[in-house]
Amino acid sequence: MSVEQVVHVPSGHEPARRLREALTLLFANKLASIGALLAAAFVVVGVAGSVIVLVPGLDHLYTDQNLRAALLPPLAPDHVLGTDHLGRDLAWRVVTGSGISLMFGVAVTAISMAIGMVVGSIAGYYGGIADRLLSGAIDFTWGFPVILLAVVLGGMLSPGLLVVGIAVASVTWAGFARMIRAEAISLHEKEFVEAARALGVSGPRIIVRHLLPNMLGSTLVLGTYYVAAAIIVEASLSFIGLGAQPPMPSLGQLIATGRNFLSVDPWVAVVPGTAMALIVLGLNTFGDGLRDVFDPRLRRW
Amino acid sequence: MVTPTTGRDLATVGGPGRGPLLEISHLSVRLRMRSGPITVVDDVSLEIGSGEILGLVGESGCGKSMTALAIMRLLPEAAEIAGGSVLLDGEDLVRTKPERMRQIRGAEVAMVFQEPMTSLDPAFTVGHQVVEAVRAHEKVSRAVSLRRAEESFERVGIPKPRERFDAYPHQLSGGLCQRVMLAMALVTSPRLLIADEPTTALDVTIQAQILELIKQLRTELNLSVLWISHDFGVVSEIADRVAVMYAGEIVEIGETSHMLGAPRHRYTRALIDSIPGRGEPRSLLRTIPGQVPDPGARPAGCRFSPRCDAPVSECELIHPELRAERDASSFRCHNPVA
Amino acid sequence: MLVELRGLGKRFPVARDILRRPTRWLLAVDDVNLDVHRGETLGLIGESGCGKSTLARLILALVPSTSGSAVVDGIRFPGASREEMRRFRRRVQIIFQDPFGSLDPRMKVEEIITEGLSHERLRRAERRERAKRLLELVELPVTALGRYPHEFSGGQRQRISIARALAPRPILIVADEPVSALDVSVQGTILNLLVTLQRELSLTCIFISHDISVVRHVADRIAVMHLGQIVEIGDSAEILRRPLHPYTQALLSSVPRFNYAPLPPRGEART
Repeated sequence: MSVEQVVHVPSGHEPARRLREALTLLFANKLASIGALLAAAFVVVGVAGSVIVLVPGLDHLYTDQNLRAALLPPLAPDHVLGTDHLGRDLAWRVVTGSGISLMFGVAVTAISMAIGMVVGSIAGYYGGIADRLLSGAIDFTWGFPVILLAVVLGGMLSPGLLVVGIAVASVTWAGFARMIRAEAISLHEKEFVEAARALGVSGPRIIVRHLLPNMLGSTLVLGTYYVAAAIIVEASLSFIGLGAQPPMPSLGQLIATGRNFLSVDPWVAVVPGTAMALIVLGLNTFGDGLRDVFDPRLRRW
Repeated sequence: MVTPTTGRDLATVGGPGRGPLLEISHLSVRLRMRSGPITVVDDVSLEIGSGEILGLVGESGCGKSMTALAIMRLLPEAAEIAGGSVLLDGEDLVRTKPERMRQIRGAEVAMVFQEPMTSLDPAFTVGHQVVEAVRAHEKVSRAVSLRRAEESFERVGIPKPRERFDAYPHQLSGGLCQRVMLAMALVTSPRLLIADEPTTALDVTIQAQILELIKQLRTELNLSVLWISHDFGVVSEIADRVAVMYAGEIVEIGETSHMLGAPRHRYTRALIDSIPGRGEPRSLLRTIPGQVPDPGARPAGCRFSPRCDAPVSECELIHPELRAERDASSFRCHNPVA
Repeated sequence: MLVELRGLGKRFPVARDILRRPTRWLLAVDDVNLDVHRGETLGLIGESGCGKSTLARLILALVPSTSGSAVVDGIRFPGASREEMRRFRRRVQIIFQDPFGSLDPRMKVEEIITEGLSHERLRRAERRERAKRLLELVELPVTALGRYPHEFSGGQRQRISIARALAPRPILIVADEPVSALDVSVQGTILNLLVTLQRELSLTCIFISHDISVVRHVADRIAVMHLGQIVEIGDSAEILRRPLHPYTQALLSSVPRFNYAPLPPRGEART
C-alpha cells in the first residue's frame, strides 16, 4: 500500500500566509483599495480625534474661539480648513468629530456584534424552542425604528451620546443576530460539526470552536457596514440635537451648525459633510472588498 | 452489453465523402495562473464519427472537462486555447467568430453537465426554458417552438410532458431534471452532444435509464456523443470507443471492448485493476502509488513513469509519442502491457 | 450483538398548520429491525433518499428516533443516561463522504484528530504523541500535524477523517459513503486502509454506499434499503448472486457491468 505524499505547499506560517493572500486579493480590487485607504485614513484621524477627546487639556484645540477670525474659508493662514462662526478651527473640530464618530461606531458595533453572536449562534445551533423564542425577539427588534427609539429615550433620559448609543445598539444587535443565526444553521448541517457531535463535544464548545471562527469573516464584513450605519445614525441624531452635546463637536452637529451659515459661508457645513461622506464611502467600499475576499463566489476577475 | 458497434463504420461510410463529424487535432489549453501559465490540455487529438459515442475517461484534474469546454469555447476566463484545431464538419471552431460560435452552440453542438439541478434556472418553468432554447436558435412562432419542446420532452421519455411543462426545476427529481436538460440539449437537433459526467449525480437505476436513452437517441437521430466520465463501468456500457486521459494528454485510445479487455498503457491497466468488487472480498485492491503530478511539475519523460509498476530506462527521459496499432488503437507507452 | 434495532423509525414534519402542528410527515426510516454482530462489516445499500443516511445518524444517536428502540453496545436509546451517553460517544464513530466538508477548515490537523480526546485530560506532549500514532495508523506523515485541511488532497483528507474517528478507540465505525467522492485510484487506497484497520483493530463496521461494487468488496452481509425500509438482508455473496426482493433485483440489474475479467497478477516479464 502506498502513502500519498503531502501536497507541496509554499512554506511559511499559515495564518500569516493567509493574511498576505487576503491583502493581495483586497488590493487587487481598485475600488476596495481606495476604500481601504479611506478607512485607514479615517482610523488614523479618528484615533487622533479620540485622543483629543479623551486626554484632558487638549480640548482647547477645538474650543478656542477667536471672533475676529470667524468664518474664514479653507487654506486661511493657521486654519487649513477655515473656521466656524466663533472662529474655532474647523480642521481640529472635524478631527475631533471623526474621533467621536470612530469611537461611537466601533463601540456600538462591538456591543451589538457581541450580543448578536450570542443570540444568533444559540438560536441557530440549538434550534427548536430556543430558536423560536430568540427569532421572535430578533424579528421584533429588527422592525423597530432606531431614530424613534433614540428620540423617545433622549426625551425620557437626557440627550447625549450614551443614550443614542444604547438606542442604536439595542436595535442593530438583531441585524447581526439574524445573519449569524442563518450562518449557524448552515454550519450546523456541515459534516465537521456532526463529526464533533459524534465525538461528544458539547454544544457551547462547538459554538466557540467551530461556529464562531467560521463566521468571523462575514461578521467582520457586516461589522464594517454597521460602523458606517451607526455613524450616520449618530450624525442624524446630533443634527437634530439629540446626540453629542456642545461644545463636543460630532460631525452631525458640525453640519447642523454649518446649516445656519450656508448662504454666507458654505464651508462650515461642506467641510464636515465631506468628511462624513468620505468616511461612509470608505467603510462601505472597504466592506465590499472584504466581502469579496471572504466570499470567493462574489469575486470578479 | 453494447456490441462493439457500428460507430466506426458510420464514421467512414456515413457522410458523403466526408471525414469524421468532429476532428480535434493537437488541441492545447493553457490556464493563466499567478505563478505563470500551465498547460491543462496538452496536444489532444481525437475524432468522433457521426453516430459514434466516444468515452473520455480520466481522474479529476486530467483535463477531460477542459477539453469539452474548449470544444464549446466555453472555457473559464483564466483559460485559453493555446493551439490546435477543432473541426466540426470541416469548420474550425477554434477560429470561428464568436457570433457564429453562439449559433453552433446549442444548434449543432449541445452540452449537458453533471448537476442537472444547478444547470437549470430555478426561476423559470422547465417548459419555458426548453422553449427559450428553441427560440434562441430559430425564428419560429411560439406555437411551433412549444410543439418542438413537447416533442423533445417525449423523445427523452419524460412521462406526461404537458404536465411537466409548468413544473419548476426544484419540483422534479434529479433524474427528471437530467432528462429535461437532455430535452433542452436535443430540441434543436444538434449533431454532437457533449455529456460531462451526466449520470454521476444520479442513482444507478436512473443512470441505467439515461444510458439506455442515449443509446436509443444515437440510433434514432444518428447523434454523436462525447461522453466524459470517470467510471469505466458506465463507459463500457455506452461507448464505442474510449480515450483515456492522464495529466492533460491522451494516453490511450481504442475500441471499447479491445481496450478494456486488453489495455496496453500501464495507466489504463492500473485504473482498471483498481476497480473494486471484482476480486476476493476484502483482498487488498491494487492501487496506483503516488498522485497525479501538478500541471506545473510534470515529469520530463512519460508523465506516468513515477507511478508506473513497470518502467524501463527511457520512460524517465523520453516523452512517449502516441503509437498507432493495427486495430486503430493507439497508446503512449514505452513498455506496454503485452 | 453490538447493534440491535427494533422497530426503529424516524419521521420529519414536512408541512405544518397555522399553529405549527405538523400536518404531513416524511417517513425517512420506517420500522427498521436490524442486528449487527461484533466484528462484522454490514454493507447498507440503497439509492438517494432511501433513508440510509438517516439510519446512520439514528445509530449514532445524532438525531432522536420517533419510534422503536436501538441498543448499541448495551446502551439503550431512547433513555440513555448522561454517563452512558459519554461512554457511547467514545465507542461509536462516523466517517463522512465529503472529504471537504467533514474537516473544519480553520483547525489544524492535530486539533482535528485530537478533538475527541478532550475527556482524557491529556498533557500537551501526550496529546501530540497520540496524534502522531494516529497519523501513523492512517499512513500520513507526522508533518501533517501542523497543517490545515485545505493543504491535502481528497484521499489524504479522508485519512484525516479516519484518524479522527479512531482517536477515542471506538468499537463501531459507521462509514457513510467514505469513498464515493474520491477518484477510482484513490478509492482503492482508502478501501485497503479501512479493510486493514478493521482487521487489526477488530472493529465492527456499518458501511453505507450506493456503489454496489464497493460494498461487495468490504461487506460480510448486505442490507438493502428502499423507501425507509430494509427490504432484504443477508450474506453478501448470496444477495449479489441471488437477490430475492424485486427492488434488489432492479437495483443490481441497473449497475453498469464491467464485464472484463480481472487481469492476471502483475510482474510478467518486462520487454
